[in-house]
Amino acid sequence: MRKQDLVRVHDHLWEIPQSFRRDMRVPARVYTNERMLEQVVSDRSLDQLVNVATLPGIQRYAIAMPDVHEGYGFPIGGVAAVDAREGVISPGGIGYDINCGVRVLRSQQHHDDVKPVLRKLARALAHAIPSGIGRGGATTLRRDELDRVLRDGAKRAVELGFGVPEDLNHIESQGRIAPNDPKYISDDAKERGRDQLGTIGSGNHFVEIDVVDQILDAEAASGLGISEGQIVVQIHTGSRGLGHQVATDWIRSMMKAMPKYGISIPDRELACAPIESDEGQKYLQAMAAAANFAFANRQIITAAARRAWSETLGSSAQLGILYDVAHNVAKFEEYGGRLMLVHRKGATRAFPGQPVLIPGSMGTASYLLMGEEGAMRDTFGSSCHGAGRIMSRSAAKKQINGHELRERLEKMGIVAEAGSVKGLVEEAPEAYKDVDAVVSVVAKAGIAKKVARFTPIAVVKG
Amino acid sequence: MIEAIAHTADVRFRISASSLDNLFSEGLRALTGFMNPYWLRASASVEIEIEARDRTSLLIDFLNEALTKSHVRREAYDTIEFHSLEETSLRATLHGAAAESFEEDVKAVTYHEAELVQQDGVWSTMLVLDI
Repeated sequence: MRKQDLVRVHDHLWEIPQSFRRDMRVPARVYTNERMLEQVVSDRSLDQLVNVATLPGIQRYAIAMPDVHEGYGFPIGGVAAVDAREGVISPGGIGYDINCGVRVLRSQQHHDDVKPVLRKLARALAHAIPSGIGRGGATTLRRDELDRVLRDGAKRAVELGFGVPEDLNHIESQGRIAPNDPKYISDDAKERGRDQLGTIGSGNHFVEIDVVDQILDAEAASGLGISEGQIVVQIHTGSRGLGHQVATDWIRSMMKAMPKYGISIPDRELACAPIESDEGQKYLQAMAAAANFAFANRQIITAAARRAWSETLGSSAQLGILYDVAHNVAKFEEYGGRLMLVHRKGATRAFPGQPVLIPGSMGTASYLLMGEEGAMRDTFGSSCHGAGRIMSRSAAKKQINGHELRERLEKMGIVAEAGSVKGLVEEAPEAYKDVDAVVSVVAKAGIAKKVARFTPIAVVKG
Repeated sequence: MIEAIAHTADVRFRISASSLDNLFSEGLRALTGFMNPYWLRASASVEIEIEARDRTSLLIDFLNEALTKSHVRREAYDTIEFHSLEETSLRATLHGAAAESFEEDVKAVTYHEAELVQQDGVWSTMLVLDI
């Protein structure tokens, strides 16, 4: 893809016309700015977006958010809405980490309250919330118990003692997606995830302590219980091995089914089936159950964070949930009187008034946004999901010294508790786009407004 | 031969070999090598059987099956003993050892960019791992 293949719509939106490739069913649109566009065209993000524009039943545009980067099948930061009756569902448009998402917890503490015990607090969180890579977490369920988690998500976690019913009011879809059915999840998937509840995994997943360093919309921030100097905790993880296996199983199944439905796609990873087909319906229920596993996972991690918090700061120290968003999922939503299935792969739902949680990298800011009407008009109620990578992991390892990075973070007042130096280096701030610029694009495009900015003071990584 | 090629978010390898069965072995070597298991002494083996739509899917499905078995059984595999290898099916025993854990958490071997080709007697394909 070359820059000249794109047509500028306005300062923050470019379009790849439908005429760019004969198999495109709709144009492709990318929200970015002039400077970031140079980065966007430097990898295969937009070629992947053009492939998405070929999906049967896709409506209006294949959309890339400003944090877009190369993925597989869909680009990360991709949105595709397909007609619910005539369209397809593509598990690759949700990704292997079904319902990867972000949860933000509000504390009653301010920066000065935690400064003296910050390292102890970070260690307590790292101890309470294992990465679970290759080894299980603290919560291993029997098969029948696991099925109840798959059916009821965060609600079941609360029933098991991981939180209080009020928590569910602050989670997208109240922490449960239906219809779902655990019988469409394979034994392998259940086995792979059985002992992974309460674990964050590796890669870009983390738990982070942040300070609210800027209030950007006083009224909205106040409504969400956020004030300057307040400490918040971010949790970024998903459905772990269970979700990975569900995606693997169903992509394989749809690959085999496509000839039956006469579907041809330019990238195998976009394997899909009609939404109303047997495969489509079963995958939807499996995806919902895996998404529920992820909601339960973040709920159980929240309980562990609460324990660490009160053990370190005293029993009166509480953590409440600000909000929890999924950024790898497909949902039925209505636009223009038409029911659509919106695939969000590294994109966050941004309905007007809804909190939108945008984690940055470990050394830069994160943002609390709020969805605006422009999202409903232009992006199928979707916003960006993070800063977006610009540097490969191998390049990061070549260019960044782990010990220097740790020292740099310390000088910035950020405590890093990482399972490995390599994991830290791969997620270094310079491996990511400028989150301020990414968020400014969605704000200026009228997709979501800025409410508050968070700055990290402790990072826990797998 | 395994060649690492940059990918913005995930991991990309180009693998090549002089025969189809060696290409499968290189794929397994790339996957297990990247996962970097903490090997235990106890040897392990598992039988697998795959049917796929075509040769490319057969390789990706095979590698995903090896990945699944690794996670579910807490084992890692570095050798394939083929009982049959056809265009769209295979039967094999994977050999390796128990693994205490893995340094890298590979989510899946994707079909993205995978295309088995034979040119001048060399089989090759791209592999993109989601991590």
